[in-house]
Amino acid sequence: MSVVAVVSDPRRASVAPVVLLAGVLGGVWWVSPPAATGAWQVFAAAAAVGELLVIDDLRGRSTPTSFAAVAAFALLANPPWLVAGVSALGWAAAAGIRLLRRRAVEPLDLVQRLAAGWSLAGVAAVGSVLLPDWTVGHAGRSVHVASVAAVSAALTAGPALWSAAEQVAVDRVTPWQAFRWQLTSGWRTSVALASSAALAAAVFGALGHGALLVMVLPVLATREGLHRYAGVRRTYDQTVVAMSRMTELTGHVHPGHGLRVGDLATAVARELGLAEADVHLVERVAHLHEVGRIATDDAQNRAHDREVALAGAAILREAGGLGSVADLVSKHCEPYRVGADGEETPPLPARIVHAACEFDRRTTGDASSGAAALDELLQSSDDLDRRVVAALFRVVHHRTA
Amino acid sequence: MSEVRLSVVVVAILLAGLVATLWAARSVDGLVLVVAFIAAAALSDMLPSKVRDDVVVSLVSVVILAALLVGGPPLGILAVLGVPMVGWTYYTDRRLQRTAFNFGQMALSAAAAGLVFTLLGGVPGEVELWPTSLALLAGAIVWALVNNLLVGVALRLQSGERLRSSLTSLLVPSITMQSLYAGLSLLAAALLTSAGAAALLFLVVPALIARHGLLSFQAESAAYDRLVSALLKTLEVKDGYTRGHTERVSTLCVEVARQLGASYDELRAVRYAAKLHDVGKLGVPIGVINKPTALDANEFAMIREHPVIGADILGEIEFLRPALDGVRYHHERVDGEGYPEGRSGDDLPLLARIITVCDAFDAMTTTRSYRRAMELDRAFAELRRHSGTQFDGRVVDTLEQVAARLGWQPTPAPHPSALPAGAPVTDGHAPRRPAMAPVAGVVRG
Repeated sequence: MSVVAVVSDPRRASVAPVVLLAGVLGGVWWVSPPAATGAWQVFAAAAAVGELLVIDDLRGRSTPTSFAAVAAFALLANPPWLVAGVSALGWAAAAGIRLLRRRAVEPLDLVQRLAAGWSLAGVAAVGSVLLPDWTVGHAGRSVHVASVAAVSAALTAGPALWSAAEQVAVDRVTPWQAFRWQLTSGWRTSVALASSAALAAAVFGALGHGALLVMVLPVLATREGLHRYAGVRRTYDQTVVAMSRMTELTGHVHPGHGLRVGDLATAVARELGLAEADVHLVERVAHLHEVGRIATDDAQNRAHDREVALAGAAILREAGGLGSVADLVSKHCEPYRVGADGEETPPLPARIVHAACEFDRRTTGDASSGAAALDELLQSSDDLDRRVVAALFRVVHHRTA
Repeated sequence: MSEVRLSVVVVAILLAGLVATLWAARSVDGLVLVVAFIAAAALSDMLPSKVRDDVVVSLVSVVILAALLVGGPPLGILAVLGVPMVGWTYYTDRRLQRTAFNFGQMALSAAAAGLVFTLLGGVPGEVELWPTSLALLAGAIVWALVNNLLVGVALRLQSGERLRSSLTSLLVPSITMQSLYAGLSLLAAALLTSAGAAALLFLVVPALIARHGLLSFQAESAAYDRLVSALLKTLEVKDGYTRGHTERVSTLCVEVARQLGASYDELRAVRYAAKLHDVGKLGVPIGVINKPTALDANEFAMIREHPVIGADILGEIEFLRPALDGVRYHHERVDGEGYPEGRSGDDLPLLARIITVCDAFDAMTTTRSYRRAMELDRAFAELRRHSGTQFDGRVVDTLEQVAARLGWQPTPAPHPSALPAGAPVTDGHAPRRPAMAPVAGVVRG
């Protein structure tokens, strides 16, 4: 019996025609099978299983483990069109299963799978041409070390390029920044999948299609490890957001203040060119900058922001692992000053959150419009860092334009 | 008395293991392979990974089974020699005894696995998919059997746990894991024989990445626990509860849910949902929460809202979503007289009924500023008196069993203001059963 209710969200999708078409093409192909190293049907089935088993990374992007089966097929020196076909068939079969279970299917993924198949096979071919003598394995089909390296690189760079393109379309970031962030968050998954593919290709001579069966083990182990990590990271972030919403319950914070400040401060941090780790830090500080409200009582809440900041920092220090966030929270409403030695206080992430917080306060409730609030920020306050306010100005301008 | 018997058994197992090792040393050839496999066994023993709180994975078995596949039983048995070298460093008590026992039992397990593998037609150095994997699988299962039998005997002598009880709890997970290890070692052996030692890197890389993920997961979950407890501490101080109330309620809820058959992932959601179930009280002015006199209609309306507000906020946290109704309805009564909706009977999720009972139980058995903690018997009499109206009788029964099993005691903690900051909060857990951990094989205590 189930102690907690099972939650499901059936999302209907209208991609059945795409799946049907891919399935029909696959059927035609099945009737007149092309010559390949290894039965492509088996690899397509493995790819279909892999499509259903995805690995989530820390950014919530997911990589299908089908890439391992497709890459293994490519490493066995099969022609690109065949590899792309296996990749697409695997996708179609999995999509069919998803539709039957009333899950959402993303048709654009088919393009990505086709591209992945073509590029993996192409890259494997280039790799084996580069160093024809340097091979792994002597029983049956040999695998070129150079092509393994090339396929690994392709598997790592390919999905990162794809997601980076998506991010550039949405956020105000340079393509290189986006590519680097995607690479740092997803390389482990890709390297593990590429290794597993190389492994299957290397033992294909000895184990035949059983190689695919045993390849499942490292793939599953990787998935287990990375999945759990990504899951708890997501939980942590969501809990921080929940804590930000708790502050609103005290009635002294506007609804959605923490989330809006987080959103704005993150954009400003990106605008100022901060590293991704610091952008994340800014986001945490923004979500938690009012957390002291849940510790202070009603009378104190009407008192100075500074007490709230200190109470919040005390809670966060207790939490451990949030030391830097706690420091920044305690300092976030300190006035901006430049010391005699040119040192700026408080630190930049705190200044960013301060500015975003002030802007949000001026634009919510019965307050003024965005443009007026910006003017007010620029003119009246000596306590804010003008460089930060200017960046905020650009972000808000870009968003309203 | 059992101490002496334990020592005798350990010495006997050690001797038997040594005999197997000596036999192996005489019949093995290829010193380089032996050294390589011993080193690999030692290395993998140094790097265990926790998959869950109760499951630790160590790839020692993979190394030993791979040695068995490549060089036959002698190489497999000799690879075990890597284990005591590492074991010696991580035991803190009974170092000699544990090291000796684990070495002996692993050597015997490896010997038994090797014997079965050879009898079933496994040929060292030749890897063919079906014949080899079937022989290896049988060997791995025998390994798990011998391993758990020897560990069970030791547990029986050390802690008095019945052999049957330890075997039933450990055997199935152990055989499952061992079969997975057999698959991995088949892969490793196929790589070694058909593609050379360098190709083992293809296996090591995913293993290391998986391990990195698991280690980061543990670090992050520990951090998450601290975040939640810091939050709880703040809430408890504000609420005027005794410190540790929510943690204790959470412990009890988890144990009751476990007894009622919840899965591992469900228990995780239960644990945190129970800890955070009163978060919605932040939306109620403190004056109202701690008001000693009767509430007026307006104040009661505020109180009624807190489970809904709590569930709404916790809805941000994805993995808690299945448990949200437990939070939303934790002030409902079985007879429909509770709030916020007046749900009753089967419309009440089980988790909500569990939280209600455990919350009331801990409140009664804790010393408050205005009264002393109730004895358990009286608290249960009280719960039973209101079974069928306020509480679910089945949950109350389960809680009683759980409290007995844990040896739960009333919490005599004084009011928080009387405690200096950082003082330990006492609560009444009985210590968990002492396991002879880590045992070799797979599932460690």
